[in-house]
Amino acid sequence: MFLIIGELINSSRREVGKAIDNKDDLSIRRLARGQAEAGAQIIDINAGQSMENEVSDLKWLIGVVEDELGRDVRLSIDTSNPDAMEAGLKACSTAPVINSMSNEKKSVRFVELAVESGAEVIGLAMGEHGMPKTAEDRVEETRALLEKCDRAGISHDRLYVDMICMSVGSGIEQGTQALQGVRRVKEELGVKTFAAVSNVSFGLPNRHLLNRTFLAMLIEAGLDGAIMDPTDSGMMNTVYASRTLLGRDNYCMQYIKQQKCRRRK
Amino acid sequence: MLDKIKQAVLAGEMEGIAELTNQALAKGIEAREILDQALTPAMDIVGKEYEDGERYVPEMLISAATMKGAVTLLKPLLVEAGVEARGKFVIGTVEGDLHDIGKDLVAMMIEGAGFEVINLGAEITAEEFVKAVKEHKPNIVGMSALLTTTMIRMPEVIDALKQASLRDQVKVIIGGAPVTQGYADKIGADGYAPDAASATKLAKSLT
Repeated sequence: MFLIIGELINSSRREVGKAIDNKDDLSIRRLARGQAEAGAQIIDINAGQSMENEVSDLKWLIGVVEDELGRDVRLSIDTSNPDAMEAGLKACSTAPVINSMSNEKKSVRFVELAVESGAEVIGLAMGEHGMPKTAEDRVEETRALLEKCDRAGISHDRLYVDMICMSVGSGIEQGTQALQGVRRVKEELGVKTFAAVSNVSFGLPNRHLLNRTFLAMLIEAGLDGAIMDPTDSGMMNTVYASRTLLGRDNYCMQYIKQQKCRRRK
Repeated sequence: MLDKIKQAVLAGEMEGIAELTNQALAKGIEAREILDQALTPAMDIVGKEYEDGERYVPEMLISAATMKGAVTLLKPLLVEAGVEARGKFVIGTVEGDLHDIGKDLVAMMIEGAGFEVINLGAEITAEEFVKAVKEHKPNIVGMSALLTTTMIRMPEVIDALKQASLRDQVKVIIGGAPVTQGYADKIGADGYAPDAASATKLAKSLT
């Protein structure tokens, strides 16, 4: 199954930032419920914008979302602050996901936290040599991530490697390089691939169109999961339609089920 | 002729710009005039259109690249004529932060406004910022950060400039997704800009 992480509970979005400031749990509940019902298996939780209050705000968000959704949905803790990551992982009552760990020097504590918690990890294919530009860079960064996991005893099946999508608006080759990256990482390293698809359309008109078209291409290339807005029906339809057309949906059952669901709404 | 150059920059006609520039020079138009009356006004419009949402990132990039095509030809002539840049601008993304797209956009736009730009790259430590300020003596230092965890490097750079007794010789401006005007005020920066066009305006207002 294709992994969908719902990206909407992110403090850099104005609506969420305001809800955090006012401790308006209803708005957060609505976002959590909406994403889960739309098909997100994991709900991303980001309180990075809270700065010095990140730990307490992150815990508050986790509490609200877990109270709303119970144990049906898992959470991914989205922070580059190791203290917040540690607190977030501990606060989760279901198996959390670490979002994210890179090859940057500062990732040492994230590796330790991954080992201690046994959590699944989103690994970023960047940091050993800066931001990846080519498919080759992405393969090399992934290789470095896998070596890091091997040394720490983190098994590869706990890892989703983020292929680092960048805007075609500032480099027209970025789409093909990420696609080739997915193909090569799958083939040469056999690890699961992941993407934050919407970066690809930054600075361009009609981002929805680019995002869902690129998502279809990434899925064809072998992408295993994405962080996205699951309430964007264009994106969700694309996930189901692509998997069906690529023969990854037995008897087309998931597609049919999803379309019947939509019709009922 | 100047208008033709201006239109070429606006339209992003990279292929024709060298020929147009050479034609203008052959007609006796001075490098300075081409810069001040064609290139800079064109980039002003580009910036404004971007701010108003009428222009997209690639349209800005292609105009900047076209402008650069002309500037490359003009630069030696400007140096020869003793024409000074509008100011010097040093820019970098702070330590621990690899993001450079927004920072590069700012660098390009500010160069288009007639500044000499020294782009240090990404993951620049406080010491490296201090060293660059000592070496290049810029009017303005720009810092970029895309993460809340790296944004905290900005006040450290300001402190390092203070300790090196350089803070009063240079204006500091900041930007990046998590950065706000409030944060700029809090850490004692001289300005904040939400995008490349505003950064250009800000840089002009500070020199």
